[in-house]
Amino acid sequence: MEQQHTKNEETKKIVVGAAILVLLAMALVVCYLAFRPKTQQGEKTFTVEVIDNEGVSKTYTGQTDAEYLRQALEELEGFTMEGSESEYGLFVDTVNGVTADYSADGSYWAFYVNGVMCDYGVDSQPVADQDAFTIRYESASN
Amino acid sequence: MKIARVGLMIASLEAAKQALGSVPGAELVTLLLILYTLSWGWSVLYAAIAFVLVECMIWGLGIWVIMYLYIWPLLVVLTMAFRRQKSVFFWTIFSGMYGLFFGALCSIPYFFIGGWQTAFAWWIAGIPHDLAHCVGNIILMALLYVPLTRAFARLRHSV
Repeated sequence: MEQQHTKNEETKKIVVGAAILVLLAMALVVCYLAFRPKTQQGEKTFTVEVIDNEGVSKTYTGQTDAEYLRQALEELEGFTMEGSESEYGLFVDTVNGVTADYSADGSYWAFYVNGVMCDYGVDSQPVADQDAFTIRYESASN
Repeated sequence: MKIARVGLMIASLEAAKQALGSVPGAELVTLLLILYTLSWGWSVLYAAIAFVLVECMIWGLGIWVIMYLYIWPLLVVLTMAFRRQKSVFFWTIFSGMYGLFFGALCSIPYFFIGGWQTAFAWWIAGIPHDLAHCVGNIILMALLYVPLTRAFARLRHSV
């Protein structure tokens, strides 16, 4: 009898635990939908300034219907970008043929939007009309 | 023998990570660290930390190193706190919770880098990955807890 009671108690705890997990997952979904980066529909004009490892700057102006930066950059004439795909999207290591190798010398390509470092990777960074992006070669040792 | 066992744990963690590296949300590290801890206790902390160092050798240094240096040992500590639990359902929910809040735990260094807005934005952007991680952990633990627990019990008695 006591064993059955204990088993029932354990089962109740498991069910409560599962219910809490489901509720927390739903709460995370709500948070994501409420606070995720908002994208802009329609055609947008944007600029991209690339500052390479020698400090040389080149500016591009583009127009795009793309909602996120990656596609907008891929459409940009004269601009090239390469990197490795991860579950979080493209990790950019080469811009216009210049590769930043973090493991070799602590260098990386930093992305800024309107003067502020981007909070998201290129696959998730929204593009808004009149956005000014900067892609700068930086070094962790600086 | 303990050193050899920890070495095998490190190797298996790394192999498991590489094996499922291309599958979004699926990773065996959480499952293995939990089951190793339930079988061999605090010594698994050495494996968790050494695993991070091996990852550094493969992938180089980055902010992720700071995250990994507390996330995986924390999993070992939490598992030890609940080590009396023997239910596959408990550990399935536990590993699901860890996957669900993995991103929140990872966002902590960003708080010190760019303030709470940066940490919050980083966490929010990663929520879809956290949900996939939760589901992946639940499925793997539900499927593998019983067979692996039995296998590790046999290993413990024979080694």
